[in-house]
Amino acid sequence: MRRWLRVLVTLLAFLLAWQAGALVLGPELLPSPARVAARLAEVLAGTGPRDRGALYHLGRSFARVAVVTVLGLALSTALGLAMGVDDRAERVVAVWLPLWMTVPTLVVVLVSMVLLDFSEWAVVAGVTFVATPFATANVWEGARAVDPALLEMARAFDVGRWDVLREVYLPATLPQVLGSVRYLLGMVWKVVVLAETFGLDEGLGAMFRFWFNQGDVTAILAYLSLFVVVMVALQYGFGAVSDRLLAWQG
Amino acid sequence: MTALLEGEDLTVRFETDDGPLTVFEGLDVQVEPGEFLTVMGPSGCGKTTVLNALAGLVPLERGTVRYDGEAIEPGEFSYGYVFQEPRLLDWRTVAENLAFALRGAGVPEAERGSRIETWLDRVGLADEADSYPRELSGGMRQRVGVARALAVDPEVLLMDEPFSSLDDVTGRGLRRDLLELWGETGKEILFVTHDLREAVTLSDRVLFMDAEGAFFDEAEIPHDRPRDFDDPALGETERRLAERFFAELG
Repeated sequence: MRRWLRVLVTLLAFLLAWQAGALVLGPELLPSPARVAARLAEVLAGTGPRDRGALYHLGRSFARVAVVTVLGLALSTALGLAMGVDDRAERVVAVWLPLWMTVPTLVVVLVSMVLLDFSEWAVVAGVTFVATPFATANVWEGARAVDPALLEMARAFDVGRWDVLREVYLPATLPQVLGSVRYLLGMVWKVVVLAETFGLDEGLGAMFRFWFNQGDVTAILAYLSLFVVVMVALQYGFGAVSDRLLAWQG
Repeated sequence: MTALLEGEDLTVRFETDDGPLTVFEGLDVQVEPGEFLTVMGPSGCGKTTVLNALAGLVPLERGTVRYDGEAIEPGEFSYGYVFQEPRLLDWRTVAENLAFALRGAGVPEAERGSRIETWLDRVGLADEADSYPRELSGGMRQRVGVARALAVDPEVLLMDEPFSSLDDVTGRGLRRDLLELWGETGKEILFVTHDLREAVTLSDRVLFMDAEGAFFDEAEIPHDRPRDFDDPALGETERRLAERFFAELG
């Protein structure tokens, strides 16, 4: 089956299941797809709380996600490669990595919010802290798997350290780096929204909280649809970029 | 005649879990100007380590390397290395693989393009400059390895069983081409193989190494060039040397 047809069938099956669920549970508990779509059009066109529309809140969340993803990727790539290249860096970071990975996300977000006074930086710092160790471990694994024969070849041709990093380590770990981006995009969105739900007035998470307090399930689902559409579009877009960058794998 | 490249009292020992492992001790090797010298020996005897020790790719515990009569640090002479496997960067095109080595060799950027073109043409891969290694056959990839080693315009070519993983027909073609290139360039070649017929066909002189990493015999190969792989006279020399060689190895 062609890819677009598979996507269409999956989407239709999901909407049918949703519609069936709405019929069984009733509109108060689970509004139908049509009601949510109508509400989505409303929130997109009009203004919501604080005189801001849905697109504004989406933009705020998106900006936070972008900053955290770039920061997380830069940090994890630098740390993962350093661990792969340098034994000392590996010894130092490897000790902390398991600890860093096991701190519960919720605790990090809450502590970060309190420490940084519910500011923009609280979200960025908290989410970066949560997302980075997993991506670091991923890049580290890739850097460790670099073929020693290629490194010996580079030495034989007297290739400098920087060129080895750029031409051997980075491309060899590109599948892991791209995997980290995919992971970061998925994880960061969720945690940013979580953090916004807890303590910010703007962003999709803040809107979830606002409409939850209003008891408006339809509005929550309208914002959720927007969130999911953007997530899926990002993942698909990234998949295409990723395929292009890894074209050499054949 | 003064040897161009000379190793004296070369000793290499590796630390292993079972204690120190002596690969060879007190080994002497001289490559005369313009010579095609082959080190021949059974698998695992330390032939490759001789190349790697001279190239500075493995540390010497003891010994001196001289180039043109002067003591130098191992590897501090102009060499190109052809490995047993091509060791190409799969994520770079054929031309970029050559550029990688040329950058290491300090060849100015303006000169790299013409060198790449020249050497890909010389090894019969002029049309494959933009191909990725995975798109090439095993023989073509090894040709890229040869072009890469020659493109840096080395004084000495170090070749570690470069044709051992190729099928018979491809291997013969590449050996013939190598002899042609050697005739045209006049570079010294230090070649490693466990294939006596290959050693006899290619070399001016063959050094025989035993399983303990010592040279126990050497033979001049007096046949005129160009040589034909199927020449019965070469076959006779091979048979005679095989008797000497295998009698010693038991």
